[in-house]
Amino acid sequence: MNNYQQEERQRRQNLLIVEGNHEKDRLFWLIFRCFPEIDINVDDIWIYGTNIYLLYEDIQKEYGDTWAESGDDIDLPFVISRKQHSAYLRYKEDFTNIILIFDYERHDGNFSEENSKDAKILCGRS
Amino acid sequence: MLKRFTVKNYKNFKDSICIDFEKIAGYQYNKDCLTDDLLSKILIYGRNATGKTNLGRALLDIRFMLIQNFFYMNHREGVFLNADSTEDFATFSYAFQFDRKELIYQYTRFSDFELRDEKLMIDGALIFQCDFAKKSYDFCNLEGIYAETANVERYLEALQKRREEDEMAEFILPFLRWLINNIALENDSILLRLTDYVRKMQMITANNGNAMTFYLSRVQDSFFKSLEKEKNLDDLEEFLNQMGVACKLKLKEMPDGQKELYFAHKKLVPFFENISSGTLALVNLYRQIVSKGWDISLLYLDEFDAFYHYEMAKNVVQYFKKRYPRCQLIMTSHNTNLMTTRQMRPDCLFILSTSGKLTSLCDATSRELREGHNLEKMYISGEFASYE
Repeated sequence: MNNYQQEERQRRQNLLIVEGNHEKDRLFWLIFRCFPEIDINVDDIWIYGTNIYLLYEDIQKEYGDTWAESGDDIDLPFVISRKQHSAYLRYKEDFTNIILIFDYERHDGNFSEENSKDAKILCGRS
Repeated sequence: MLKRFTVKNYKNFKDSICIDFEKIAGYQYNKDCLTDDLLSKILIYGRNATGKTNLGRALLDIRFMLIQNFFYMNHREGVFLNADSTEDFATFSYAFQFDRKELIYQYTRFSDFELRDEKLMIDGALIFQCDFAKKSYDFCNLEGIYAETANVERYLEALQKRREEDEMAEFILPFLRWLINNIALENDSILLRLTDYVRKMQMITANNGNAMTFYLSRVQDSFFKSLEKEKNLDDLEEFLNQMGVACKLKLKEMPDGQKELYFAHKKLVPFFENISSGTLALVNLYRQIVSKGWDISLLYLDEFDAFYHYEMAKNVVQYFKKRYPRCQLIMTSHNTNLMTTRQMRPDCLFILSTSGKLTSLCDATSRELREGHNLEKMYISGEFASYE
């Protein structure tokens, strides 16, 4: 008999991208305990492991320097999953909501008024 | 495998249109869309009436030249030549790669029926050339295909005789076809490789017929007989389930001994009277391709997903990539959900324009297309509009 088995695609998920372990293990663990109606699986909290300015750089690497002006549709799950576990790529279309939680960190050496503006555009599109 | 196909002055293609399977860009993902450094999984988009179906018919034309029964040549569809052209013949050119040899077969025709000329070249060297209109023949290099013993005089005599006597006087038997059928070729002959490839070319168009037509045709079809074996019925059921149609099938013997197919519910529901359009299209694909179990060299699936849910369309593409890795699969579709780097690559996604030009997405924009780009959104927002 043929093998018709298809890779099962998970849909209707919510993705939470946070900066570090602390946000996942403490903050959201507590929030989910307090508000069990929040429909986010703990496995769908991704720890980016660094700050928003490095995420900005990763987006630039994938979409080029003009990504913000060009109106490109930025696929954050793709950008992050490719960096962290390239064998299992995830895509924006699999998620109904993507929530980013990062510190503003104006003191970071990579901060500039320009990339701060672009980051706001990104948040508006995600 | 087919490296390049060009057609000109055929149906709506007034100018030359080419599918160049060698034109690979350097993408490092979805390499299962390539085989032997050639594009092997292609998806063509285009507005309605741009000629997607005609392109498939043109591509499969070589079957009529070399394989198919002559009877069918008289029963082909529509106008043959481009209606706006002053040229009175259409040109077809096929470049194949077999092992390390390149075989080019070119011919022109006045109509579905009437051959104007034909030419065969191997690795750039002319093997033969026949100009039937001018009655000029050059069999200069038949030894290049180990066919020097071929009695070409007999072919020419037969040609002349047919012209004088036969009521089908305008029909000309292609020399290549005559050659393949009249000489003993070595097992590793490039002409046998060509014949084998052409025999395994197939085209399937969206099933516009209704379920009842399908039902009535079943009597002559061995496929329906094959379902009487339990493992075959289970296989069809498994295929439908995995592609996205959750159902259970049952065969039941009628009082007259005939077996009928049903959807198994608490009560049995007759299959063909109640089948949905999408399921019917899927069963049709299964019947014509999957159930046969043989390899296919080139498959042109024209608007294959016209009745499919978008996930079923993705499943079918994925299945064909996995099951037929060496098959050159050319699909046409209006389903932009398949225009994604998740399954395809920009060099395998094409737009057929209203002026009859075929352009890959990576050639249809000055921007560098990257894996993270949302090609569907770019297409809909007009990024490639000047190539539509």
